[in-house]
Amino acid sequence: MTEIIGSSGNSASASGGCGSCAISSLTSSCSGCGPGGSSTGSNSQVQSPSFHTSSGNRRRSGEEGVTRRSMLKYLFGAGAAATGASLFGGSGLMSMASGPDNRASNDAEFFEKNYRLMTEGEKRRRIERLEKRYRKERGVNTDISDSDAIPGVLYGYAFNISKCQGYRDCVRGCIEENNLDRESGMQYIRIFEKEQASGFGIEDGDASYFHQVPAEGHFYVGTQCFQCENPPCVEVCPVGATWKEPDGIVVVDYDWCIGCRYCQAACPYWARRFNWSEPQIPASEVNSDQHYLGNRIRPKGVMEKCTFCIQRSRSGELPACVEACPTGARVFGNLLDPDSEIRYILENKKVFRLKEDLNTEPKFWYYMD
Amino acid sequence: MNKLLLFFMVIISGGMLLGNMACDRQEVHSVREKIEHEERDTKHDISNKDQLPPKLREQVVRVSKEKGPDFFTLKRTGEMKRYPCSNCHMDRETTFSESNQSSRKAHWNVDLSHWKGGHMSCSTCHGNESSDQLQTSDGRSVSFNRPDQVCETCHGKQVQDWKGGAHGKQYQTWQGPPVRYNCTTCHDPHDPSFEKKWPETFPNIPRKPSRNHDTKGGGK
Repeated sequence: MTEIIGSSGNSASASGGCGSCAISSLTSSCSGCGPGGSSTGSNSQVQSPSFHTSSGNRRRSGEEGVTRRSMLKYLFGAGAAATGASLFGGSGLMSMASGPDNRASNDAEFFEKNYRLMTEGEKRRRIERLEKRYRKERGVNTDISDSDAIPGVLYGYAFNISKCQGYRDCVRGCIEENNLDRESGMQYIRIFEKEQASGFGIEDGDASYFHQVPAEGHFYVGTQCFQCENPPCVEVCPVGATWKEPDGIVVVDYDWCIGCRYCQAACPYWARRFNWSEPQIPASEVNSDQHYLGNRIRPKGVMEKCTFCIQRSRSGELPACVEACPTGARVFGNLLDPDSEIRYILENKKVFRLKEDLNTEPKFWYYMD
Repeated sequence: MNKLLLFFMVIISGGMLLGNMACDRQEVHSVREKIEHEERDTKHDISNKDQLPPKLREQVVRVSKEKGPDFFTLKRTGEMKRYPCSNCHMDRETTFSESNQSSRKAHWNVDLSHWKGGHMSCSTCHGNESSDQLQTSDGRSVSFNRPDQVCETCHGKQVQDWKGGAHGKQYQTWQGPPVRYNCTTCHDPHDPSFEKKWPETFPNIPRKPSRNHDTKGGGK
């Protein structure tokens, strides 16, 4: 697969034209890509002018010299794609529309397995392809990890509502760490400002406050993905693109997601986010320390969510929000370690979780001094 | 006819396999059950600092507590600009002038707003025994590296929570021996409360006028 990409020379073609639909298999929102539109390659962020010409040349040469062999190859490829499309719910049709020159790399993307079924070699090749694409499209050198869960670890999180002052340093830390789309202003973390007399629910909280904080008579409740032990978002996913890892983190395979947004509807905590457009991040601000299931730059048309900074937590670091919090309101740790901070909190403080009656079993507790 | 039947069976079984893969339902367990079943005895050997990253070893001191294993906290003296204090305050008789700001000389910028109710003066914590050490309200001299021992005499609950892990901040990692910020990393001892301020704003790229991604320009 890698060789095919190499020879066609444009992993960028996927992004250039209709990459997002090839990657995300999102047919519905991709009305704009016809056979012609795909070769303009106008969607990527960082482009060299030579890209257009080389792409154009390749297309011409493809049109001129149709040998029997290439014709067979084309027929076979189209047939395979069509079979795949019918199997996977018609999601691959657009990859054919992007023309013969893009087909090879699109097919490589299209026939990618679900992350959980990939062998080590396939993961490695996939990551190499991704790194190459990010270099070409965005001009950034990335280091994508595929580290597995650490055995004997179940991540848990605690949030001190008597300490949070509503400064939102955590939100900024999260945006910078997780390569969130700067154009849509996407944020994983919401900080709700609540009147002290109003109880703990988040429905009547104000998440868009902008005044000096902490405001008199108010307290602050931060929400993000709670990495439920019984996650409704995983239950509803029709394609198995999201699942709970052994260390309790709920992750998304961005290449398997079809963008149906069922999970967004199913989450009672409003934790999932959808990419309506290609994420825009200045090359200088891209965090190159990435994880395949975490903060690697998402394509358009897929869901994403907080992963407790999987790229950090699996290497022993604290999530960016914990690190950024100046008040120490955020505590992160291993629930299976009886000496951890989080376990002390669960055993010694008054703790509660949001919407516990839904039996989602979030691994995110609120506590008070 | 048989062949056709076989063909459909293959198709159907293939579909079922795919379906199974897509919705792998798991048994519902509460987190509590899971913790009880899978709890690990992860003893952190913190009898020495060898488990810490090398560059951290010099930065921390060990804190022991009545219940549970010890942990490390960040040293304070390295952060203090004028430590050791005995460079200037050589004699024990140094008197700390509180009211007259101009007489404080090098400490002109120290504005004591710790407990607005009053009753606090320089000597409440700095004492007069030794200028290089802090003094608790019951007269013990303690190192600047362990400000918690001074804070504890009034803020016992907070220090207890800090020792357990419910107050304060973890340093860099959740793995291995716990390392925590000390009291004065976050609280200015002379003005310990947190300021009122404007919340953080975020990096932003203005939305482009055209939302059609065929005509959308390239990022910048």
